[in-house]
Formats: sequence, C-alpha cells, structure tokens
Amino acid sequence: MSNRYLILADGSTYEGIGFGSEATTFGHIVFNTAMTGYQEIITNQIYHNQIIVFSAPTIGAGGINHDAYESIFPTAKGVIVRDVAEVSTNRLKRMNLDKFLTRHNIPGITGIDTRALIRHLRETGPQKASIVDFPDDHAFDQLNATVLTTRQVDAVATPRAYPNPGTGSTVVVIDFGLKHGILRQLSLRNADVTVLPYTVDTETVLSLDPDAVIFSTGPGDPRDLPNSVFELMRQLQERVPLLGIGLGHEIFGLANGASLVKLPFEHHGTNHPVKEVITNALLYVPQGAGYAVDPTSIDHAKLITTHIDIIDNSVQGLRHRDYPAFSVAFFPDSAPGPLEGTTVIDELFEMIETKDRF
Amino acid sequence: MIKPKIKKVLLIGGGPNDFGRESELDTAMIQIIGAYAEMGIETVVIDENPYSLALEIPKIGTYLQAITAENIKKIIEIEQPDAILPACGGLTAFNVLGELLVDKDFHLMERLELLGVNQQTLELINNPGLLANRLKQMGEPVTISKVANSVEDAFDVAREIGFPVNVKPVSAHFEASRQMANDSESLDLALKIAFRQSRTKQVVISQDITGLREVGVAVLRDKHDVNMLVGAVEDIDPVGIHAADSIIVTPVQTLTDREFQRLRMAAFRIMKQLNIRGIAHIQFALDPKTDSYFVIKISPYFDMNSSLVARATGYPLALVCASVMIGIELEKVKLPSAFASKMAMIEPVMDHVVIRFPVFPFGEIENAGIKVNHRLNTMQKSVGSTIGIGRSIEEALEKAIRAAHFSNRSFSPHIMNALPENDLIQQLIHPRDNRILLLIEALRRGYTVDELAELTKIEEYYLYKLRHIMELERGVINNPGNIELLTQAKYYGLSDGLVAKLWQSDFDSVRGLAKDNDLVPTYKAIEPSAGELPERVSKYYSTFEMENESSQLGEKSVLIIGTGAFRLGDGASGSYITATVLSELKLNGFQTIIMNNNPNALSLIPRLADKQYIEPLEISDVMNVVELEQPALVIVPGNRIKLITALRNRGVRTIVLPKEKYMPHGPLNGEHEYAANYYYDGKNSYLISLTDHIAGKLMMDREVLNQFVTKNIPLPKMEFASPGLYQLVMPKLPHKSSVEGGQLRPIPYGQIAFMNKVTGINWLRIMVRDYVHCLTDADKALLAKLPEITWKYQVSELVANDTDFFQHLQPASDLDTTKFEMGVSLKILG
Repeated sequence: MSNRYLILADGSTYEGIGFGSEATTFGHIVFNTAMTGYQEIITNQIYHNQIIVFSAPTIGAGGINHDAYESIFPTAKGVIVRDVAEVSTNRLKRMNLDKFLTRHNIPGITGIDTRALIRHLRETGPQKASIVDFPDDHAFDQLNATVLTTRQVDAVATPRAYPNPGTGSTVVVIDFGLKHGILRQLSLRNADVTVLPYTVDTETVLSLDPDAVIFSTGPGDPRDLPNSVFELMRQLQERVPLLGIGLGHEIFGLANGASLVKLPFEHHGTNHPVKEVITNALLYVPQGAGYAVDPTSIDHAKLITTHIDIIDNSVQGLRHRDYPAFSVAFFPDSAPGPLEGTTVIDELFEMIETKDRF
Repeated sequence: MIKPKIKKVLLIGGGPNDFGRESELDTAMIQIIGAYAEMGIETVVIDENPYSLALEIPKIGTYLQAITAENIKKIIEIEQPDAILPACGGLTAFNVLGELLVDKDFHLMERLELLGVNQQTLELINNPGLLANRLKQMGEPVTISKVANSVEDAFDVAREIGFPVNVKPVSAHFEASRQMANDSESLDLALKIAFRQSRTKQVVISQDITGLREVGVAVLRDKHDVNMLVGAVEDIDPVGIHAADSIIVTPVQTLTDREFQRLRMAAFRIMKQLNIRGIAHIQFALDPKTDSYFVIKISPYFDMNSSLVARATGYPLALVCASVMIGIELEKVKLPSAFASKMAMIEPVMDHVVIRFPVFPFGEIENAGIKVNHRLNTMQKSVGSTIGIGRSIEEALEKAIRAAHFSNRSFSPHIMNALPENDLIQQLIHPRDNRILLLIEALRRGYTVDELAELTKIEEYYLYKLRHIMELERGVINNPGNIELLTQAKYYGLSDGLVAKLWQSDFDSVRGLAKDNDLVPTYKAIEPSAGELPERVSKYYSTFEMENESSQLGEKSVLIIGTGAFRLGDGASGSYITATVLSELKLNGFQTIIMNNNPNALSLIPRLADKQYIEPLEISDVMNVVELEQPALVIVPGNRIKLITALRNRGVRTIVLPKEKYMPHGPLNGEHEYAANYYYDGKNSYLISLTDHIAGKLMMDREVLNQFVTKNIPLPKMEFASPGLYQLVMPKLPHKSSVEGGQLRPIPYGQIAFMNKVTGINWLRIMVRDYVHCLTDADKALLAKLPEITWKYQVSELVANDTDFFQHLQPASDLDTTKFEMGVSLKILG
C-alpha cells in the first residue's frame, strides 16, 4: 500500500494510504455521517461519480455481506476514511472491503484526517475532487479540466425490464438507479414487482395492470432528465397509487409545478429528525440529497408538504391533493439506517388496499 | 391526582458508592437541578453520600439522610413536592419507591407525580421475573427464567432449564449481579448470596447465555412517543463477564446495519410498552450465528452506560432528560446557548472511537498481603474505569489502558514472557483482568486470530486490532530511534512512556525526538454531529493528525489534573475534591481547564470547567496540554509526585493538592485512632475538628472538640510546603501538653468531604481561595475565631458501606474498610 492523495478543486490536498483500486478517479466529493452500513452506502447508486467521505472513524469491520448490496456494480468514485479494516468476519469470510473496491475499480484512501476534511467541506461547499498518486500541478489541471457527466441516470439505471416475482400486489418500479432496499421492502410485503427502465411509456406501465407505481431513487439532478419522465409521472399519478423516493420525489415535485433548490449543505446520514407534519411525530431516516423542493414554489392547491427536516427545514415529503400519489426525499427502505421510515412503504400498501375509493 | 404544573421536584440520590456505583448519578443530578433552576422549578434532594456535590448546591432543599421509605415520606410531608424523580438514584431509588407504593396508608400516587416511569414499570424493574414475563408477552425474546422461593424450588427450576443457569435476586438491595452456576455445588453458593440480597427472599433462575455478544443502547423517549437513540456500545468481552468489567467500545463496530437497526427498534418498542419518559439503558445479548437476540437488562435510570454515552458523544443527555421527564417534548427542549440550536433532537454521531477500560483492585489488595480471585465472571470485580478516545480502535484502546495504569508498568509487553503455555491456555479460556496483555502475548507466540476467537468468543475484528498493536510494538522494539516507526506508534496511540520502555530510554528523550520531528498531538472536538454542524465546543481529545481544533483558552487559565479512575479507598472522594476545586476557581473568576479520563467523574460535568481534555494523565499527556494552553497555574493531586517534579522542572507554576501516595490504613478491630484536623495557611495552623476512628466508622463530635481545645494543646509544627488541610493522627487523645507518637499527614480526601458537610464550612473552597490569594475578609474572620464557630451538625459519623467484598472479590481475609473504602454513608446523630 502506498501513499495516495485526495485533491479538491479549491486546491487543498489530503494525504493518506491507498486501498482498493489503484485507479486515478474524479468525482464530486460528499460526506456521510452514518455510523453503520458502509456497504449499503458505497453501493447506493446515488453516489455515482461521487467520492464518499465517511465521518465514522472506522469502516469495514464486517467485510462485505450478501444481504447489504444496494446495487451489484457500484459506481462511486472513491472512499475516504480514517481507518479501514481489511478483514472479513461475515459468514463466508470471502470478501473484504479492500478486495471489493478493487474488483469494482473504486479507489479508497485510509488514514485521512476526515474530520478536518469534513470541516473544510462545510466551509467551502460541494466541489469536484480527485484521488491521485501525486498532488502535482498536472493532477490539479486534470481535475479542473474534468467535466463530469450530467447523464448519471443513464449510467446506472436498468436499460431492460426485469421481474421480481411475488404473490401479492403488483408493483411497477421505474428505475433511475434504484436501491435494492426498495425491492427488499417490496419482497417483505410479497409484492409482484416489475422493474422498468425510466424510458418506458405510460401505456406499457399500465399494460402491466399495476396496483402501484414507484419512481425510484437515483443519482444527479432530475432537471437533466428528458421531459418524458415528468409526463410519465403526471399521467400515472392520475391513474395508480404512486410513490416517489429520493430522485423520484424530486421528479414528483417538478412534475407538479414545484422547483428545486440546491441545498447549501448536503446532508448524507441517518441522524436528522424529520417531522411528519400531520402527526407531529419525529422520524430518524436515511438521507442523501443534494437538492430539495423549494417550499416557496409549492402550489398548495395541488400539493401538501408532509415531511420536513427539522434541522435544515428542507421539504422531505409531498402528497398530491387529488390523487393517491406521494413522495419522500429520504430513503424509506432504511438501508442503511433506522427502520421507522419504512412506514412510508406501509402507507403505499394501505393505498393499494383502499384504492377503490379513489 | 396529577398537578397541572410541576413547581417542585424531589430527587432521590444514589446513596453510598459501591460496585457499579460511582459518581454518575450525582453527575446527572447536578445537571438536572441546574436545568430545573433555569426553568424556575424548585428542587429537593435526599442523599447520604458525603461525596455528593448535589447536597452542596445553594438555594435548594437538601436532606442529608439515609435513603429510606420512612425518610422520603417525611420529606414529602414537609416539602409537598409536585413530583418525585428516581432516575438519579438508580435501583436503590426504584426499590425504595417500590416500598412506598405498597404503603397503603401513604397514597404516594395521589400526592405527587412519578417522573420517568409509571407505577407498573417501576414495579416491573424491581422484579426481574415479572419483567421477563412482560417482555415475553410483548414478543421480545428473553432467556427462559423462573422465580424460586426456596433453595429446593431453585434446584427444581435449574434441573428443568438445565445447567448452566444464572441466578439473580428479586428486589435486590443494591445493583446485584447475575451469578452463573454450572452444577449443583456452585448453584448452592450462588443461591446463598442471592437469597441474602433479596428483599423478598426470592431469586430468579434463568437460562445461561455465556459467550454471546453484549450490546447496550441508550434511548431517550418523550411523552409523545418520540424515541431517539443516544448511543450504543459493544462489549469486546462476551456475555459471561460482567458489563462493568468488560472492555466497551462505542460506536458499535462489528454489527451489520441490519443487526444494529433491529436492536434499535426493539429498544424503541420496549420504551413504548413500558411507557418510559426519559432515559433508559437497554442491554442485549446477540447471537450472530442464529441471527437472534435476547433482552437482558432494562435500566430506566442514569447509569454508567448512559454516562459513557453522554461523555463519548458530547450530547447533553442529563439536560435533555430533565425536560423530557417533566413532560416537555423533545422538539421543545431548550438548551443553554453553548449548544447548537436543535441539538437536543439530533441523534448523536461520532467521528472518534471511545473505549472504556475497567480498573481492578487486585494489585492494591495483594500489596496488602491478601489474596483475591482474579477470574472474571458475572460478578463485578472492577472498582473504576477510564475512557480512551482516539480515531482508531488501537489508539482509543492504548489511551484507555494508559489512563487506567498511568505508570504503564503493569502493561509492559515483557510481563507475560514467562507465562507457561498451559497457564496461557487456561487463562484464555477463563479470562482474568490481564486478558488484553494475555491475548497480545498469545498472538506473539503465534496463535492465530481464528484460534483465539474460538477460545475466547471475542470478535475476530478486535483480535486483528490486537495483532496490529503487537506488530507495532515489535516494530518499535526492533528499531530503536526510528522516526517512521515512532510516527506509526504515535498515530496508533502508543505513548512516549511506552515507546521509552520499549527502547529502554526515558520519556523525555522520546518526547524530544517526537517534537524535533513535528510529531505533536492535534486536539479534536467531542461534539455530537461529527463535524456536520458548527458548535461551540469545550471538550477535546488528542490524536496525531492534520488539523488541531483547540487553541489557548486564555492567558490566565488554571489547569486541574483529575484523579482518573476510581480505585478502592479513593474513588468518589477524589471526584468530589476535583469538582469542588474547579467550581471554586470558576467562582473566583478563573478560566478553568480539566484533564481527566473517568467517564463517571463529577469533574467532567459539562460546563463545570471552561474546557475539558478527556485524556490519559501520563506525564507526556499532561505536558502536551500544558504546552498548548500555557496555563498560569496547574493544580495536581499530591500523589502524582513524578508529574509534579516534571512540571516544576519546566518552570510551570504548580500547586499540589495535599494527598498521600497511598491510602492510609484504618484502625484495627477494637482499636481507636484519633485525628486532629488542621487548616494550615503556610504560616499558622488552625484546629478545625477532631475525629475518633474505629474500624468501619469515623466519628466527629463538637463537644469532644470543645474539651480538647480547653486543654490548650500547642499546635503541631507543620512541615509541609503547601498550605492545606492536614491531620495529626494519634493513638489516643493526649492528656499532656505535647503530642507523642503522632503522625502528620494530609487529610484523606474522604474526610475533607465529611468535615465540610458536618461543619457546614467548605474547607476545600477556603484552601483554594487561599492558593489563589482570594481569601475573603469573612474567611479571615472565620479562621480567627474558629474555636467559637458553630457547626451545622453537632454529632455525626461516617460509616463504611456494607459492601459485599466476599461476593465480588473473594478475598482471603477481611478488607480494611478505610484503606479499601468502597463507599460510605454519612449519619447525623445530633
């Protein structure tokens, strides 16, 4: 293992020891404060083209587990941590984090003063970063010249439809780079699931006779997606119970006339209290968004705000006044993170049961 | 009848210190009293512990009385409080309230509101058998258990469940431990102890779960069922070693997110079912092989675990609890301005590792020639603990060990070389207090991680970490003077002292070498958001990284060196002394800095000092802080002779709090020992009080002092450099005008606390004011007419707690309860 460097677009350099892949990579830098679930975080496709900084001091103690994949081929661009454990203590003891990252061409750096880095990011805001062998001018030139794709969903969403059969309700999931946690939650409820590419048209979806439709999580800015996606949302929400999650929530807001704001501080973690407006209950839920629906842009004749992050006051949930359609910015599949958000999935199934009323 | 608004709260204290009871309860209580004062709520406190700082808070109601149902009844009659809060009194408070609740004539629940728990839950907590049944009804997995009313009954149950079984008393007088019984012989012994401890003469026999992993979570819940996880800890040692004797890690390392979240939800369900408002610590045993868990303990009160979590995360747990317990929703909790707004609602996250390391009394007792059993089991043997904070497991562990043994002699890597192979294996299977050293030695001898995991049931992850420490030590040993290895060693928490030992050098040269190569510590803040939110922080720990967040507090700061882990004879009293010194300095306008590492210490109460360093107290650790802070003054306990010398050699102004290196012996059975206690201001001595000491009891009587004074005994010539509190110990009270066979020494810390409470004058505060030249005219007047002043209590005694040493330590003979004091209570006789 040799010394490697994390360099930021603002010119700062952090030195540590490389693990995982030896590749030189570029990505947006983002920090996550969750203390468990490193595997779920790294394999979450919202981190496409991102370099993830863990504030948890140590990760990797449990190795790689068969039941903690949020995607099989992760597309993050780096993992930055203070201390990585190169052990595998799960049942098969086959794969550790180091080997896993090598296999997926993701470089990691351990031994970084991640607290200093996070405090710096808090001051300077989101930016590009690179993992390199030498932090010389050339490396910074390369970083500054790098243009990261805005077609992130295309890079991670399924191009083909596939089933996840079950014996219960029929659920269609429109995939923008979905977390497998969503599928696991649906399996728990015996749903008969079909995952469809986001380019699908309304008729194809309806031809599957779905009891409900989910617009999945995914990476990037939804405004980079084609208009057809918003049209699909508008047509489906009138016809079937519908849930938007993460990117799907942002699409739901945009499709219903709201606009997005870039969050001054992206929050990635599981420890913010989110208030369920109607009950006043506080939920702790996994979050990881760079954008939020602008509360001043919400057309209250159409949408109701259902959830608010108490810490940064960002809109975390919306519901349509006329249709059985709603959305949450956080990840109700809770992988990783607290389980109280899974009640959102229960709500979708309650809607399915009562949909005749609509 | 529930009153509409709570205006006055009665808080029950924890009583005398004992195994499993340090200063954590008083620490919580002091913060809660402060929070209530700010809300305009009056508080009344009852406790009998002379080391209670809560009892000395001005402008509140204080009752220095034994915590009994009778006394509490009387206080309720006098004070008419609106509510009673047992969470600062641990299981003692729960038991006493249990007695009050069954008192049919008193109608407790009609008189006031019970805070934190309801009546049903209080009764369940007092009765493990009923609690287990209730948990089972709720669908929570518990070990199979049954209540037995007699020894015969117990044997029937044990045969039904099958050996090994655990035995625990119902409604124990104190925090009682589970005992494991493998066969009828050990069951017989365990039953004897357990029946003796039970108020109801009942015991619970339960299925043994030795070897599983132990995880504890601290949860907060408000009246609207908002639950929050404050923190979670993982024991490195498996179930079978008492949680207080285990090495404990937070944040949890070896659980998958899924395993972890399941326990979190189970804890929330339990909080809801038991309708707990406030804090609870819930312990689980986890079996990763079968993917199952058991609930093993529920403590809806402050304890060492919640204290650890609060210190580790920087979350203002006691302040938030104060609000939540009187019915304020989590969302509406107001915190002092030093905290980020809404901090109360954020689930704490950590960017550092905290390891708690137990401190055992075996060495001290064996030095006195008494053999004790070193084997760890379900009965607590540790008497104190330290925490190490770092950015890796290795660093946190090294710092915790160093804090526990500040003369790292007992942790030298060579100490195990001579251990025969058979003994090594025996000790691996039957762990003792030295197991970390033993494991490192086993790794050194070539045992594999797999083998050790199998023998010890310790998670492989931690064994890999120990192997890394072993490799680091080996690298250092083989490369004297090598900077790269020194850098590595320091990055992973090895101290200058340890490296010096490995290099057969001295710490000063190692420190010099490190400094010459820019190897200086960086201090990081302890705050609950892991860097996400800006916060005004006052708590720090050291590591060796890029950014240093701590800057000099001020030109005229005072650094106080704490007393570290509790030890036999010298636990809570040291905590009381340090906290009082801090408080007095602050009152006199000094900026204060505390260095300490005991998670239960009073001195680490948030905001008691302006700045806290949670650090080991080896000379190097102290010097590093001294160099950064450049304090105008350092205050050090007198038993830290090497540290004092080192500070003075560097020209640092140092004040020594008089203290003997070892705790003095008490008188033998049947003998008296008298002491005249003096305040010495550097020139003159002033006689404060006389004590009459017999085994297990220290008496103070104003009338005896009067008689002594009339004899006009000349004051002894003080030969001490520092002003302070000293005593002349005499085998009998002199009849002649000179003292023969006497011995002058600093007054033991515990007796200072006793004297303060009894005379109603805080002598320690006067001493501190004298040190910093802030004696008031009132102080001077007081000293001038000392013989005439009246005491708060005329006759009183300090009585050793009836700690069951035999049960915990199995010493070969009785222990001297002065030298090996575990806890005392103060009794007012007139």
